[in-house]
Amino acid sequence: MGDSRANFFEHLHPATIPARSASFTYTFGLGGISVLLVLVLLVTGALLMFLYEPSLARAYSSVAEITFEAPFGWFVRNLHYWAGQWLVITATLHMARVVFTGGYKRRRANWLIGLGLLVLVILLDFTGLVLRWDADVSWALLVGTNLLREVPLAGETLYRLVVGGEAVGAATPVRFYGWHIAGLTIALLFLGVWHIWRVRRDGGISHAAHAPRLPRRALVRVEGLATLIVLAALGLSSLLWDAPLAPPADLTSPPTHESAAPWFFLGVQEALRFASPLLAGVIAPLLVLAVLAALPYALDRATEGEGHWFNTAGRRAQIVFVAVLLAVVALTVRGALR
Amino acid sequence: MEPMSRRELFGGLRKALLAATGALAAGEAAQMVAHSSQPQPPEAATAGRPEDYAAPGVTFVREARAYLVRDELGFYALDAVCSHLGCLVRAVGDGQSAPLLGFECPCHNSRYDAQGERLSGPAPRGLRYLVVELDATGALVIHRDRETHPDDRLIA
Amino acid sequence: MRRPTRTELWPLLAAAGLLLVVVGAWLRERSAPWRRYQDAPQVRAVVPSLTGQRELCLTCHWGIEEISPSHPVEVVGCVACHGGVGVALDADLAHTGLIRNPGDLAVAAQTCGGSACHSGAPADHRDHLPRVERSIQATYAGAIAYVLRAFGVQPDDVARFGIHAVQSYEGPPDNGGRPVVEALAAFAPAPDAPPLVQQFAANCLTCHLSAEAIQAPYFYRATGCSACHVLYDNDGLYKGGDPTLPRDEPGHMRRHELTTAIPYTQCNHCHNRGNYELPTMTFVPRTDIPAPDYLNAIERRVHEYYQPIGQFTLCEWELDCVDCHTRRETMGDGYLYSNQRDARYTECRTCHGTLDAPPLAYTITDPDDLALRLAFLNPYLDLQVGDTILMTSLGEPLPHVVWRGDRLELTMKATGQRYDVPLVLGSACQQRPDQQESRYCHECHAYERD
Repeated sequence: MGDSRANFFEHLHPATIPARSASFTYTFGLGGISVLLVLVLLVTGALLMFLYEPSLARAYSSVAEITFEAPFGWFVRNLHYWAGQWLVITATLHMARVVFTGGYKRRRANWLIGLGLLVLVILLDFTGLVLRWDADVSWALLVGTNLLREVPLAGETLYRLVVGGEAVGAATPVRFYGWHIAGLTIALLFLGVWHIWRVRRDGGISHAAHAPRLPRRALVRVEGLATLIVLAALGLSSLLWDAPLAPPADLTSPPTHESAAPWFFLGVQEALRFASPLLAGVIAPLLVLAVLAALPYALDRATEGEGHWFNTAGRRAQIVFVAVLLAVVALTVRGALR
Repeated sequence: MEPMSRRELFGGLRKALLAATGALAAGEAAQMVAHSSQPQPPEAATAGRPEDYAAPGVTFVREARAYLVRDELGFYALDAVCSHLGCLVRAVGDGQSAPLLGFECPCHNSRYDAQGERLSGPAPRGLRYLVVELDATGALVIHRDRETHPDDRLIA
Repeated sequence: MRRPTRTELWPLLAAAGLLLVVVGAWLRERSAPWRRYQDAPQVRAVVPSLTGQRELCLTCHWGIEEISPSHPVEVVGCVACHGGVGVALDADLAHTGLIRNPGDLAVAAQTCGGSACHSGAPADHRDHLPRVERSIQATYAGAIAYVLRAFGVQPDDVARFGIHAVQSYEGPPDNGGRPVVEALAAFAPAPDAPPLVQQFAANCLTCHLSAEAIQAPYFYRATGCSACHVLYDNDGLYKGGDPTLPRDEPGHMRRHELTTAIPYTQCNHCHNRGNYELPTMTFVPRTDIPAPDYLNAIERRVHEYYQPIGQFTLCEWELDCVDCHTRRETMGDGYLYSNQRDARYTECRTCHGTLDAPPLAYTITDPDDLALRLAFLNPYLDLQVGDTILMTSLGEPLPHVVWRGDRLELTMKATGQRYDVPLVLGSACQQRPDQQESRYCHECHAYERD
């Protein structure tokens, strides 16, 4: 290559980066992959917006039209679906990596922003699934929105904000669409930019003190490769496995088979079988978030160990994190095995 | 010229592959958003019975987007869509209290006479002369997809 | 410059992989499963005026016959009768909730029924469903009553049980004095019923409108309304234009069509199939079909039509069952009859008259007359207001038997073949006025089969 001036992607990075940023086994690229998946979701989402109609009469049939009639509509929908599901997983795994490498040390506010991003990602996944208005999501929609009513004091207002009326009806698809493409997305972009900017302001990916630095080209190169590989994998899954589509939603007849929550809410559905709606649907998820939020404030205030996997200073936080994660996974698996 | 290094070859190949991928993907995306299942408006519309129309007179038939004109010779229909950019033209004179002078487009002032001939304005052509027929039950039918000449009348 | 290493290879391979994925999407798009059912594939949509919902069924089923002239696809569509998810082009999703046979009596109320369709007012002649559910072909009451009497469970032939529990429906006020019952209970023998009765319940309830057909040549048929109105060939092969249906797999209708032009072969999917042997509670199928190859078409018809156990006149072979047996007889009139003999009332004199009088007839004056509607449904019948047609003793119109001047002409409903009907009046017939059952006519007019 003749031109040695930095290109656009290199210019997005600081001139030098901490040495281990570009090491796959240090970060597994999870944060970057999450950003890539968000970009894919924005582009595929924009394409879907040309054909999806958020009304009671047309929600399901416009999804069917995208899937069966529009050329490559099935492909764009599959890409959107898989990118969304993978994003929940990469965001969670990224959070785990941050916990185990002590990345939250001295970056506690950014840890909270990251938690907020995870919550937004899950809500975006939920609102997106609801938009297809088929039999599989209709009961999740009903239960999920009724759980909002359980929130003390603000429950009814929250419900009306989300559902658009006293009950799920004609205004609901429009509302969910508004939340999905605008309300939650704008919040995601805002928090996401802030999150990345803070990382950069704090000197890049969390690292041990006095870590050596590399020219940025090394990181950009590996990011480019990761982009191609992730896109190829996403594309291959979208070719082979289809986003689900059940028969149209019918809230006037009882469900004909076991109605399952979306996979990331299976734990909550399982908890709802033996605990009260307020406890299982509101208090428990908020408690999980509170514990996670408290990790850098209460469970590990030390600055030593930053940048090292399974650092001893953060052992208590790591154990609590694993416990919470295992509890959620166990409830989810139990719900899935029914 | 020095031979291309393997890095340059791979880099060049990679860029070519990515360019091809991008072009194909853009093409697929374009095909997707170009899809439409919107039904086309019907090409023929009924317009009541001949005795419903006074002679002389001109009536706008909404379902046919056409003007049904009845003069002393019979019925004829003119496409109400201006040949300039598609606005619907207005009739000047209703044929009863005032004689039908012609048609005028409110968008850019194209003017046509009572037979649809172009008089002035940016319109490139006159209004289309549409076929009017009677169907099996004796109702008038205006066909948007069939044209005829200005001397044609349906005598009914 | 450092020597390029293996790390230069990975981006190239990844880029190649990405290109393959995009090409793969193009290939999958071109090979979508629905495309193989048409020569110039395109999505075929119908928006029936009855529902206003888009249906894509014809994309794969392009070439299927329209079900009938009175159920045009632009009005009724496919989903109103067959269910399913009309906006899908994936077979599994599209066929979720599919009703393959809308005529089955278990679903007919939601498919064929409705006050504007076939569960409507008797005065409009639109009450087909409640009548059919009570017809002898649906209740099987006669066979059940005979078996129960034969084994001493009940003292007489009066029907008390049917396939389903059912009560009489308000039919026409006059049924010619034939004995009826008020209600039938569902047939389910008690544990202490005679063993052969229990065997009967387990093995022999195969010839009523809700029973699945025996899967063998000459037996193939559908259930419910379709048992009569959707024709099945004796080989059970599909001969229509739907590309998704196999043509070599027996068990399918001949064509996707409802018809009133029903030939005797359709009735023979249940009737004339063999005999029950009560002492052993077995069904003995007839063994004389198919007819030998050396017989011609007419001889084949005579051979295969009836079992060789009775006597019939020539017209009973030449005509199809539907040319004599009326709607009230076959589809029921709302009354519950104890057996087939009570359900029937057609006699030879219905068409041939008696020594004293020609057959009953009336002239059509009302443009909404039932006879005109029935004639519209049949491709061979052409009736107008002013025509004089025969009617039965209970006033049922016979739209296929028409006075043309001084000739009485019968048109076969299934084939359009025309016959002049000879009248008893003015003939040398030696009948007695009080002996009008067909067995008396058979004594002279029986036609011998080989």
